[in-house]
Amino acid sequence: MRTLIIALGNELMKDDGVGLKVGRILAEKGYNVLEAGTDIFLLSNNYQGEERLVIIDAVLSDKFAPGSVVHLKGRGVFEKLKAELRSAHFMGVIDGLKLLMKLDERLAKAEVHFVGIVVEKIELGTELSSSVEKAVPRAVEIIEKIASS
Amino acid sequence: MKNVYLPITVDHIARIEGKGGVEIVIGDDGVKEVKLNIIEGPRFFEAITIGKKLDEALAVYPRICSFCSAAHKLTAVEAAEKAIGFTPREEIRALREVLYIGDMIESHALHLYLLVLPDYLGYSGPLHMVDKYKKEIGIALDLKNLGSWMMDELGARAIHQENVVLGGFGKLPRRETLERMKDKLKEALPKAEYTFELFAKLEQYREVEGPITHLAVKPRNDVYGIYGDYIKASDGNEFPSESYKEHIKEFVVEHSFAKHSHYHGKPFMVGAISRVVNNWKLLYGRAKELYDAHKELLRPTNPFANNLAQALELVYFIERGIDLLDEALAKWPIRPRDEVTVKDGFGVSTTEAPRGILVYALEVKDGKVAYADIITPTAFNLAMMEEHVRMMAEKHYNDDPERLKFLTEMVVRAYDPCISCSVHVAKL
Repeated sequence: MRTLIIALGNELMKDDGVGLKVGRILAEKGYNVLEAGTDIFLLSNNYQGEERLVIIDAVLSDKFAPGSVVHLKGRGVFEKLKAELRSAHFMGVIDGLKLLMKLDERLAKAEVHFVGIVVEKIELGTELSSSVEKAVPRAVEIIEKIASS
Repeated sequence: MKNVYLPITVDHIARIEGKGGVEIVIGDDGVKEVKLNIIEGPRFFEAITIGKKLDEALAVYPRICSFCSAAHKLTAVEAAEKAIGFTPREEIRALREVLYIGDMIESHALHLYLLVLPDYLGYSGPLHMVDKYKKEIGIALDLKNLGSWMMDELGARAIHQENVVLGGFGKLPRRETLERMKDKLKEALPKAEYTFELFAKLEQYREVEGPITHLAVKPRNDVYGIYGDYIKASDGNEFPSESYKEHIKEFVVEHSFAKHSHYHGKPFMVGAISRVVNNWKLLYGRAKELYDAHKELLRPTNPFANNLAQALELVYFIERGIDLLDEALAKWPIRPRDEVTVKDGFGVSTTEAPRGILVYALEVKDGKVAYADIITPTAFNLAMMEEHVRMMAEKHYNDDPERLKFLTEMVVRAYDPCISCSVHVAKL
């Protein structure tokens, strides 16, 4: 099964860039990574029919401690994740993904995973907070397991 | 007195902690107060780059926004090149403008089809209209993909454009790729024309008609375009880009996270309609024909005309992109880059980003950024946008609050504000 990893985030807002950092590590290891930043629609131009999608991003949570790594699969991605991914065009990443799925049957059939790292600080800056930095290897490990399953 | 609080969809952005939106206070005899607060991201990014080496700073600026990254990158690079006293060759300028056009096509297509059109068709968003309007959503994504692909080929990445460097480009695409780009632009032209015809039929709410002062960059070489060294105003005035602070004053307003701007003491507008109002004589080709046939709809007095002006620009910039590629290809093979020496200096670049004038002012000292001032089109537009929200509210304050909310949101959307590129997080 071919896997496309979609790395999201804004690396100028501290922990919001963690998805990009994880994505770059995986790209260096040879995985198929699309660095989408805050533009999920880049997927439509770069999707090659991969049967599995892994979205990696920063998440806010009241339930989990900063640095926790959350893995959602299948319908859970859409049901449990309350997206606040407000891009410059107001549209959330999850809504954007749903829209693309309506236009591309292959995408609609793909197995979808979401790997989120719970953030500590979303503010101006380029460095990750220590709790989030420590979570990076764990996120990489989870995604590698997903990709090899 | 009843208070109606109308938050628009920016209110959930974590960085502004739920304080973004429109607040309208209605008294017994009408609208008492209108407050508009839209986040202005890039103002806070300038500080990050102070003291950084120039090339490192130039890698930061496009990250201000994924959607407008080419606009930020190209404007920052031009400001830096002006600061160090370097002028790129014409063919390099042409190819940079093609890259910028990719940004324009992507941004306009997404704004028109995914943000504006659902309002007119009675949907809460594109996700809900896609089943019935697959063709329209398909056109939006086709045009968006074309723009992304152009940015990818010339900028080496669809976002952040690492390939644009001081002195030119890191590398250039193969000639065959640029020929293919021309073909793809030609194929896209009917979709752009369809877009114009579609938006020409949509209502422009007369409630917000009134005098507007429009500011736009005066294009170089007397051709409607993106780059220029002067700002032109619809009051007949024009001034060099370097003197922007003498004519445009920023000021803090109590209710807003972002500063507002006035031109000679009054709100003003920037964006596609402002470009058309100031520079329509410089249009040519199919876009000029469409302008001539529909100029009564491209009214300088109505912010809703900005939507149609963007549709017109889709047509124009597709044709302009083809011509610029021809200009560059006529000089093929092109050396991608000239050597530059980083000297001390100060430079200002003003370009036309999809949403209007984007200003970068950079001072370089000892190879590092000593000063940076970035003003985005949305920041320029805030005061005028607030005025138009007020005008809409004054006409509809007796309507159902949901109707009032809808109409005022439409006013804001007509400006195509870029509000949230600074942060994005998911909530679990």
